[in-house]
Amino acid sequence: MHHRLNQALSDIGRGLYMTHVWALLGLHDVKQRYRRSSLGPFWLTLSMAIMIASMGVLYARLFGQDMEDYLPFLAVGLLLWTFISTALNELCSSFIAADAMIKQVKLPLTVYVARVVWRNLLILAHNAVILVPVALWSGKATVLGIVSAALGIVFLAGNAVWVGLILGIVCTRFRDIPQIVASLTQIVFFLTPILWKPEVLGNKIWVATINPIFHFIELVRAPVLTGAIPWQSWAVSLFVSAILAVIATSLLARFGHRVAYWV
Amino acid sequence: MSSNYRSNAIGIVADRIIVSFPIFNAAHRSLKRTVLHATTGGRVARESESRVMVCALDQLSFRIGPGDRVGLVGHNGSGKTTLLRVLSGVYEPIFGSISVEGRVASLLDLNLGMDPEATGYENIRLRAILAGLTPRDVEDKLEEIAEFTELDEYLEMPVRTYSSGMLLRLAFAVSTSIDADILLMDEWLSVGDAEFSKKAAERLEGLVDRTPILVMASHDPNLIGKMCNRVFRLEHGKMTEELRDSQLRKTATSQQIPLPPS
Repeated sequence: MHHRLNQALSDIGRGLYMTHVWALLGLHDVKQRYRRSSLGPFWLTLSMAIMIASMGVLYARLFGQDMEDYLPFLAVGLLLWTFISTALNELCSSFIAADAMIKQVKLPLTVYVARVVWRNLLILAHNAVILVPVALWSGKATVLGIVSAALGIVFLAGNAVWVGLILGIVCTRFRDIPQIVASLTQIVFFLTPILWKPEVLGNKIWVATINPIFHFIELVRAPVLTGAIPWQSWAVSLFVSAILAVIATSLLARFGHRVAYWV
Repeated sequence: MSSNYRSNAIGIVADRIIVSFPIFNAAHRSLKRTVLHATTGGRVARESESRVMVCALDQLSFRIGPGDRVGLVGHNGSGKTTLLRVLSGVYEPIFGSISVEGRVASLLDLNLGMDPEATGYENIRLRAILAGLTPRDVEDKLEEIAEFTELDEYLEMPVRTYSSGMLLRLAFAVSTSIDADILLMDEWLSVGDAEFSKKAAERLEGLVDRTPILVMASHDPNLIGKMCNRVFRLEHGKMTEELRDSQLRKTATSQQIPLPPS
């Protein structure tokens, strides 16, 4: 078992170190998707901007919120949620989609996960263009806030690697899981403060605070909107992250060598 | 994946390796079935346990060292490709041990990782990185590879515009540009029209000559006789005979080597 654990740790270490492999594969994925379109990934940015603008106006009305306050909140939240939910769903098939490669060359499994995370980060970077006018408009962003938000995104990406290892292995073995993940992410979207602010819950605020996704989003959203560092969310996220790391490493140690047989 | 192995450390040692595949169908991959299996036992459990396992390699033991040119022969489904995949590190045996010392290059699937929308140059980079080259090595080799393909300005175009022959040239040029200690091949590669295929054969022979260990699966007895100094015959995952040098030469020349038709 000790030997397997070493194998798993070396898979993660070597896999993350092989930046030139996963960055190239991830870049090709994005390019392939948008190769012959003139706007490329900015199509997503455009549709995201339209969605934020229209939902912002509508929901500010519905919830009786101040536009100036609500629109930036919605923009940052939706942006991060799109990253999280797309990543979650695509990470399910990080190994299934790379079956030909897995059966042909020996690469650390972490490479395939990092590739999916990287391609989603690239898309997020395109969407993040929207944040510039939003930040200028709200006028509350500080340098410290932006640095802290950037750290939050790096941290999110790191956790996506853990989640990707877990989902990748489990989904390769059980092909129902991707469907379950797809339905769950839709439900989580409504349960997480993205369209609505956690304050509206009043004394039922625990509904938001027990939700780790809320804290992950706060890592980036709070500093962008207020310039403050959300220490409580960092504490929760680090704790969740440690648990994910343990699960991911044990799954990789126990089943990593079986993935080539399952894909 | 370091290439500074001393040549005497290169080698493959397999000890009673077993490889068997679980054959899943929708029911076996279903979570529901597994949960029921855990909670009920009895009938469902029996069904789950009757999962088909195919034993692809059955207790193979062998040693391969520098200078060995191993030919794998046997019918379709006898385990040749599986063995090659074990040697490349893709499949980890479920029992037994295997140690592979040296840098492995596998020429099993030439079209691996090709991105049809990307240009020829981009695909050369992509393939070379997947084969284990560093970005710097890739840039060093890029010109040589590009020149060998004779595709010139086509290399600036997406490979989806290529004919299958052109695609094969590109894939062949990249795959054979990577030096390794152990070369794995599934059948001899031949590409292109008469002129190009001569050039390709020379390149491949050059690569094989400077690679310490070759393991090649083939249905062609003449090829095996020409290229190999050892032959492993696989039958239903078992190794049923092994010919060495002199024996091999004799049988190959007298054309009596009992190989299956290709």
